[in-house]
Amino acid sequence: MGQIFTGISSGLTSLANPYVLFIIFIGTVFGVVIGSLPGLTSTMGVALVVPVTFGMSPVLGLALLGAIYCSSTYAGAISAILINIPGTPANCCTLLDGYPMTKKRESGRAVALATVSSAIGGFLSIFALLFLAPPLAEIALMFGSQEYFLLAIFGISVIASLSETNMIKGLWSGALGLLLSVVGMHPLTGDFRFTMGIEELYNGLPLVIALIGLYSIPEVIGTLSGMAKMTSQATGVKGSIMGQMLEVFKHKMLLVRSTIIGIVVGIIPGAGSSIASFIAYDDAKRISRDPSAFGKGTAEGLIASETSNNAVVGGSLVPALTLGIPGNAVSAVLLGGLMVQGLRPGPALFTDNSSIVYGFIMTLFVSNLVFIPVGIFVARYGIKLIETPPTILAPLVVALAVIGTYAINMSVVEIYIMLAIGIIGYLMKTFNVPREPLVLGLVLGSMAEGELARALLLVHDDIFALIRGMLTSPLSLIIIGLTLYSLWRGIKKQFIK
Amino acid sequence: MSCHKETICSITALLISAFLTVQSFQYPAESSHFPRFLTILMTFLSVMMVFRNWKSQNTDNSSGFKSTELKTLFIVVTLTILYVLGIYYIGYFVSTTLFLVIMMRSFGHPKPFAMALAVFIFLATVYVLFVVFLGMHLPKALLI
Repeated sequence: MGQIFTGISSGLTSLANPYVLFIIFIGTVFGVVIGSLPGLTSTMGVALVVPVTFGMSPVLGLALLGAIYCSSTYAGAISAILINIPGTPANCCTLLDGYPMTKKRESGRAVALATVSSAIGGFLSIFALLFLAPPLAEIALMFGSQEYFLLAIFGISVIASLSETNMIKGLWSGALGLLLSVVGMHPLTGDFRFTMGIEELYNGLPLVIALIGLYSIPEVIGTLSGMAKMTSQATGVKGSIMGQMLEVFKHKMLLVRSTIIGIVVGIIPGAGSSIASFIAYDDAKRISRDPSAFGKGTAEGLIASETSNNAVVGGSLVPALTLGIPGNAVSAVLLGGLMVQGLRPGPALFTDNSSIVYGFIMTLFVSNLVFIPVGIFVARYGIKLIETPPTILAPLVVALAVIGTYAINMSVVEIYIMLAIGIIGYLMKTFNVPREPLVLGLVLGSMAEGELARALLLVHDDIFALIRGMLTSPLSLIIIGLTLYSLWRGIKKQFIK
Repeated sequence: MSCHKETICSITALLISAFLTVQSFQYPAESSHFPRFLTILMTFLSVMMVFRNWKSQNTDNSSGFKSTELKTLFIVVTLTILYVLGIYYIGYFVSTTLFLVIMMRSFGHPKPFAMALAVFIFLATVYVLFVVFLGMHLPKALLI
């Protein structure tokens, strides 16, 4: 503990350098712009800037990367709230309540809530990184292939809760999402499935393209065909902005629970922000006094989603810094940035390079505060976009979806794929088949299949040995228990009245 | 066109599930256990949807498709396909301008100045962010 406080004090001296604060500001602005544009992800934003950090001092370089990571994870909420397209996969749960709030002329309130929730989740998760890194890293090491598979199944069980109004359609949608996730090459055998001869599908269906298609095209069609009744009108982020921001603190327990979920999911390598977002959303719905309000523009849903996805930031850096195992794709790129500076991740990092590491952690605290004014500023002008007539806004959304899709892999074929998924999304919306379970299935499916295949390989394809292993592992039993409880809750609400 | 929406939904789901099930059995067994399980599950769930819809048929009279939405879908999809073809053959900036103007006019936007301003701001933003800042290469075609 003494070492931690010594490190903190040396880290704080880094913040006394005005260049560090300036770099954090630059990184935050860049991250907010990148995160709020559909098609551009946090991973892309951090990866683009790593070469820029070559000539910088370690603290400056890491401060820049950390600021982009924190702000881009949050900024996807802006487009999710304003135009119903998540800026990054981490924000796909945010639109469930964020966009309905925009439809109710509460976009300013939604952005204020999302901004402060993200800041709190990110800020608290950095405390976890600072004080709990070694024991949390030990927990991360306990996860093997069977635990990952069970975690994916637990995530999938959340579908039962997400599709409360029509569980059969929701489960069908979730199964379709899982099936879409297996499009492409099998992780072990190398066989191609469901690619229809399209080369761009050999590596699977990119999640971001599916998100853009599923949410942009149906919304454009709905807006253009229902122009007699304007559905999206915004209120600005003005006036009692402080009041709107402070509303978050009426949900203290929710903030704490969602932060813990984000940290725990973040420390599990490969789990990702979108999983944390869905689990926290489901948890918030379960403990809410009014679960039926979820999906219609409730603050709790928005707060849970945004708090947890930013709490993943600190959690994902725990195994990354202490063990050299990245918690997600972004932290993997960040590790690259770390190694470019000559730092080797591992237990010795905190002792051999304490001033740099603790300096980096201190800059993460500041980053989570800086994106509040930057995000609100960007959102103010983003909200003006919503006041644009739908005959102008809708074509712009399509054009943005096209360039956003193209930006991922520079492939024109993927734009057609996005359009096809958009038509599927429109049909799903028309037939009242929920889209969120499909997204969740897409997020978790590749992890579920891949880890199941690896787990079976470890037991020489003996399924009984695998089941025995699951039933004798305490961690597996905990996850199985949570899954069964989640499924039971969904079944009880739907079928047992 | 007056259709029972839930009937169409459940039958469409069943057809899609059946098709995907057949597809999944055409792949090697060792790489298709998971897809086969999923497609069979989807087929089972579709049958449940059909059964539930059949049971509630007398009480549920949901409205059919809205013709305005179908027309809008057709226009949006057709224009977007032509737009993407245009990017490939004409060039990104020219085809984007044409796409935006045609689509705005198709849905009755009356003010040319507002359209021109929106197109200019959008293209300028794309150029600065994607081309200059991110160094992205847009497809090379006949024009820009």
